[in-house]
Amino acid sequence: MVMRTWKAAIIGGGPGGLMTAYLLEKLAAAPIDLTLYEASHRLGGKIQTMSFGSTPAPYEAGAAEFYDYSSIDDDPLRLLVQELGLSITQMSGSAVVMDEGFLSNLDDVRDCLGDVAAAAIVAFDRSAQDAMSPRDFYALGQSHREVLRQGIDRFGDLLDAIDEPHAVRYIERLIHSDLATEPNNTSVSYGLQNYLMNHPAYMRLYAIEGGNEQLTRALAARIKARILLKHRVECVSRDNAGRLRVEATHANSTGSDSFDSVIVALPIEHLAALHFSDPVLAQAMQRHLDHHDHPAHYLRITILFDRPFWRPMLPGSFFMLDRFDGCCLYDESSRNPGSQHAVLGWLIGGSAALRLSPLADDELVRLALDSLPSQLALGRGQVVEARVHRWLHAVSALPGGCTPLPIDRRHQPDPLNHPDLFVVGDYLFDSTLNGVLDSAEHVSGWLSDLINAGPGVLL
Amino acid sequence: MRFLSIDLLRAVAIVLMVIVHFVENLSALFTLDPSVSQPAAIAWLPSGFAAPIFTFLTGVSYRLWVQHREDRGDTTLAITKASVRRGLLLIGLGFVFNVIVWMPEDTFNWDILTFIGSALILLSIFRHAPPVILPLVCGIVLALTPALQSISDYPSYWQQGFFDYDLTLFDVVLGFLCVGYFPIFPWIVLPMAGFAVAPLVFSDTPNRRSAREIPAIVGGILLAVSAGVLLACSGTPPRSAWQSISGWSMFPPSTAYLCGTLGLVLILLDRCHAILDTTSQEKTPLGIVCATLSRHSLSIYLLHHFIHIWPLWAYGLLSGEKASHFWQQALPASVSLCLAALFVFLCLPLFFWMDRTGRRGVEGWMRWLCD
Amino acid sequence: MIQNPAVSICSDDPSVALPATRHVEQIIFTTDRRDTRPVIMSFDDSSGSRAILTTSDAPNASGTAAAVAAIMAGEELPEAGRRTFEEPHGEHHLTLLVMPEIDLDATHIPSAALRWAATNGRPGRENLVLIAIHGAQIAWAPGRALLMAHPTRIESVRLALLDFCFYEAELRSIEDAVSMGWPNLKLDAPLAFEFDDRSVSRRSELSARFQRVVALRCRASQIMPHLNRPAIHPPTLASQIGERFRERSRLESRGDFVSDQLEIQERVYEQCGQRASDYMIARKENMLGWMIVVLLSAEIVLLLVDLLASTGV
Repeated sequence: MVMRTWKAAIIGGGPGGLMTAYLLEKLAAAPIDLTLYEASHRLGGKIQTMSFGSTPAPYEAGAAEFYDYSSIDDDPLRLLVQELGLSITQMSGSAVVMDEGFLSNLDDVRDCLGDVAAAAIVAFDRSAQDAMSPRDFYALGQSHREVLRQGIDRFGDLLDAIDEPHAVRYIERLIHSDLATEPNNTSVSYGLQNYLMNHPAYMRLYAIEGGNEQLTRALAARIKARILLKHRVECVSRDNAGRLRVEATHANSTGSDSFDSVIVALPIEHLAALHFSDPVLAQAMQRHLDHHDHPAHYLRITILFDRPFWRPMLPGSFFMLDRFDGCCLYDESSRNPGSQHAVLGWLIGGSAALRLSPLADDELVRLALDSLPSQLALGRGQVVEARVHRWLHAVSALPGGCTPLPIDRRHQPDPLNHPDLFVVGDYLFDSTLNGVLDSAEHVSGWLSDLINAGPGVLL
Repeated sequence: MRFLSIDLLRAVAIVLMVIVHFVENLSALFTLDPSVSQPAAIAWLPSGFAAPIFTFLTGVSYRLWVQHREDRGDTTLAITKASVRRGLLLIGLGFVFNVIVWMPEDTFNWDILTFIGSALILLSIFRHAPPVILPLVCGIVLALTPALQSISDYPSYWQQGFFDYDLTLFDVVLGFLCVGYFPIFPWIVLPMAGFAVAPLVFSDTPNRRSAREIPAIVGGILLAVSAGVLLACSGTPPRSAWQSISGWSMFPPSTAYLCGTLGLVLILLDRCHAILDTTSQEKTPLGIVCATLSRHSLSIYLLHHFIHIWPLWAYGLLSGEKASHFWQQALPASVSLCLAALFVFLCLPLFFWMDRTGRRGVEGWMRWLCD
Repeated sequence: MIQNPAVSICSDDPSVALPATRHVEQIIFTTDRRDTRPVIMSFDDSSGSRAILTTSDAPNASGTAAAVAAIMAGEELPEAGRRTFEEPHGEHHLTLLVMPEIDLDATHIPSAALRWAATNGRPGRENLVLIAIHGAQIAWAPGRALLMAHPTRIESVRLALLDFCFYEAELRSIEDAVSMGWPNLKLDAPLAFEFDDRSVSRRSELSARFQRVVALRCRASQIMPHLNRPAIHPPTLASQIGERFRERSRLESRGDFVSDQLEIQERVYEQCGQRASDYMIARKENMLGWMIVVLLSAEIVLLLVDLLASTGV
């Protein structure tokens, strides 16, 4: 008996597409022929490690960190990182700079904001932990159970229930850069999730030594798939034999190929630009987009300084700043032990990112420097080089949508008429790299079961 | 490692043996005046002590040898093989010795060589037994011996003052077991006791120090028991049923005799070890002499027989009589004694020379063949 | 609120004087319930351990001045003598110089004091941990610590430091005890495979070693939850300092390592005990077997002799 080779296409060379390819090749017991389409010149998508021109100082232009759930239960992303042989650096940071003051712990909060505010923050923290245990927190990305609060739909409503305005401001500044949107634009559970991720019992943070892009490079090095860079997929249709056909342009020419199954691993923004010739499929994809399109935005301003002037006062991998509605400043050079560079990266999220992105890079850098508190003003004169990266519509403010769909349904927009088309994305889970791995695992496991079952199962 | 206590006691046993054999074989019945009857044995001879000391020390030395081989890493099987080979060699040597030194009809008289060979084989088996078994065996042997001697009618084999047997399976087996010169019952008690007490006397481990007093205590008890029995039964007639228990006799070896000699040698070993073995005595004259005599004990045993028995047979034959005509009546006791002393005196330079030039004695050939 | 939270931690400038409110505390960590001296804190580790203040001079007292002068000179304290820290399974001691300070920008811990903390009576061996975090400056070495912080924070930081010192000392004593056991373990390891007659006399010794290892294992399991405790949230300065010390001293991984070592040691001695027990049982059975063999042999000899004597073959 001759085993038929399963042909599959993956549209998108970001973490979702690469993880899907890696897992499919691992899980499929039957021969599989994978083709990976990537419109840009590079793989990796939102994971992007770059370097300054004047000095080989690396920094993260995209995803800032990875989330570590291994203290609660199995963490597939952590296991994948280990499997790929990558070393990690733990990240931590607890300081919030508010009103020119450095609030590094509850004692500083008490001194700066007062006992009432401190008590309110502690009370909010307790109620958040009561509402969501570490196990709930871990499972949230899996099952996406909504935390139901009577009469409260949005996270902003939860914050409004706090009497102390300073406490509210503190909490908002603490989580704004993770939320990448305003509290009123997201659900209670997503908001709580982004608050509790600061709690070591719930989650820890880490980065990959040598740059987070090591992950996608390692995945790309291990997959045997045919990788087509600078191949923009324009259209997905059906061929005469009923198989899915992918049309892609490359260097002003268009080519097409037919596949047994297609996995679309694109961010929502790029998914919207993909054309589906079948009207039924197009409708299904539109419904999928409508359900999941809740855009959130990021703006990254990264500056190379002469020396790390902030470190004596603000040790740690990052700290929060109350400017730009609350942004996170990453000590990029602390990711690499022994680094001699001084790189500070502003991660601005939400409407502030959207509002500021049209500005010129120089203006953005000036704004970033002006945002430094007076104790760190000496750094303004120590700039060597600066870079700006815009990630508009790059993540979802409400991953999974207002009402999360069943997990199979999320990944198969049209199960009846197009069971051979799958979707992978972080927006289906929790807008994190862990979420995109969960999504990729789900689809690759599903598809490999079908492949292993033999021909004729799918159609 | 040599212990002066063992060498000294063995040297004393060897010298006593030479003296006793010379005097007994050459002069036991000698008299210048045929009309005057002489006692069958010379009362002043310290007979009956050499054999118990020697056989006891066989057990002690065997135990130390086994321990040395185990410390060296030899396997149990290798040690057992070497022991059995040595035992069989000594048994065979004993048979050959009996034939060429005494008479062919004395082949199965179960003399000391065959006994020591048998003892080595038995000890190679019993060395695996738990420590408490050895005293138990000694007790059973001592208890059974009078019964065995009685059942086998021991006196009937010794009517002429020496072991006289018919060459039948019955007599050979009985001789081996209980009626020969050195039968298993009861002589096995001595090497077995030596094997049992050696680790107590010669151990350095702290938890054995309290057990080191046991041999002397047991020896004292045995001596006391023996003395008590002898005193209590001093009126019993010789060759009576009680003689095998309460009498002081080597042939048959009475219980009192064995207990007394065992007790004596236990105390001697304990005291000699305590006094002499605390410092190294290898280089002292006493140490050198005792070590030489002890190391060549087998050679001395064989040689002294050749030296004083063969001329005896030759003299008898040359005189036109049978070879054993002048046995026990060739020379006065004083002359025999001097000859014995001379023999011992001449042995020393001989064996010094052999040691210095690396020449093997019987012991060396035995080690070469068996180890 | 600390405006300028942290500066460099030490100064060689002899003109820099220590804060006037500084004082020296001698503290012991003990389980002795009969001790009536002031209890600073109790530890929640099932052993009932407490931190007890043995001596503490008020600020400006002559005793304190003498103690501080000795510390400044890098010398031993007059009354502490050569108190060392390694006291396995016993009390642990801590000498703590407390320096409340408002203007942390201008005040640093003198380097002479750091040298005093580092040597702990053993010249040449320096295992000093220095932490400057959010306005507090702490220098710690086994048995000695220096603490400088804002007066409003100093009590909570002190308690966090004592908590760390206690568990670190407990772990260190277990580590020392474990390392002392390795030479014996190497000698005893063959007995975990095969037990022989010569080893019978060592049974009580092996039993004592096994009990010692079990006791260490019990103690390690009592303190492990405290070494691995999760960070609290929201963090306080005290909790941050405790976490930082635990991280710098690698308490969690040291605890894992010592647990692994104890598991090996326990396993070896457990096997030794098993082998010894099996051997003793086999020996008893062996002895009974031998006794039967000996008695049967004696009976056979008797019967043989009787048979031969009666048949006259």
